[in-house]
Amino acid sequence: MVLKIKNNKIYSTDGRLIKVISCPKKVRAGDFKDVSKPVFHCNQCSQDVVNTDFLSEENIIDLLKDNLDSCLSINLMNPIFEEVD
Amino acid sequence: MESSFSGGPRSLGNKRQLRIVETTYDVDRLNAARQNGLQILIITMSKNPALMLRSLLLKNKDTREIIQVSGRMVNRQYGLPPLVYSEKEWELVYQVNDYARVRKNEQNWGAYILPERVGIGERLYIADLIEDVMATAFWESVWYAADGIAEWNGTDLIIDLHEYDRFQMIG
Repeated sequence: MVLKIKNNKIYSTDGRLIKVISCPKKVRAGDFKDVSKPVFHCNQCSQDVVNTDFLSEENIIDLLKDNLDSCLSINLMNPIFEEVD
Repeated sequence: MESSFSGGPRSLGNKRQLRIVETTYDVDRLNAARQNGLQILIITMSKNPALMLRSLLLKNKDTREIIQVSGRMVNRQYGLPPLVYSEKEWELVYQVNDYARVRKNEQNWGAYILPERVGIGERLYIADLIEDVMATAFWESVWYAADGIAEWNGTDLIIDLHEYDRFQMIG
């Protein structure tokens, strides 16, 4: 199963929108020293950012079911994601 | 041939339809552009430490199998525990030094030809980036930037490295 990303939105394989990737503070990966850790803290919103490098597709869907506002770090080179135009 | 740990080139694309900087490695093309009144910039190539790749060639002491791995501990996805190649089981054959970008030739310079009448502050698209820039990385693999977006400051093209942040989204 691959999660599709289009225009900053994540869709499940069946085409269901599961998350809009949007940061109100416009933070970038380069702003964090510990971006390669499974979870890292963002001081801008005092919220933890979950690094999806360590998760499966199912883990991500489950995480977002419980908390749609979970903040994610998504590497587009991760084969569980496919960026589509 | 690219290293096992090179992801290869990664492109941003010209999604904003910026004017395009031409890249050439040919001195005749460079002179033709200059004679047509176009601004040229000669760029010397240099290695980027971020694109240097190190890996290990290991041999299993029992089976004599030889493997190439990024290190003695290799992270895995899906929350799986890392793979560990202990010194007790795996003998180091060779420490491999490699580079993520392989060029077609050994020429150490290239040049950009700017479009006509570029204004200071104008952002331009470089479809064939001469400089060695790391676009992104995932686990042990590194991708080099095939293209770039740069701002003309009147003297140089300043590559906007933040453009590559799009490969790692946060939100």
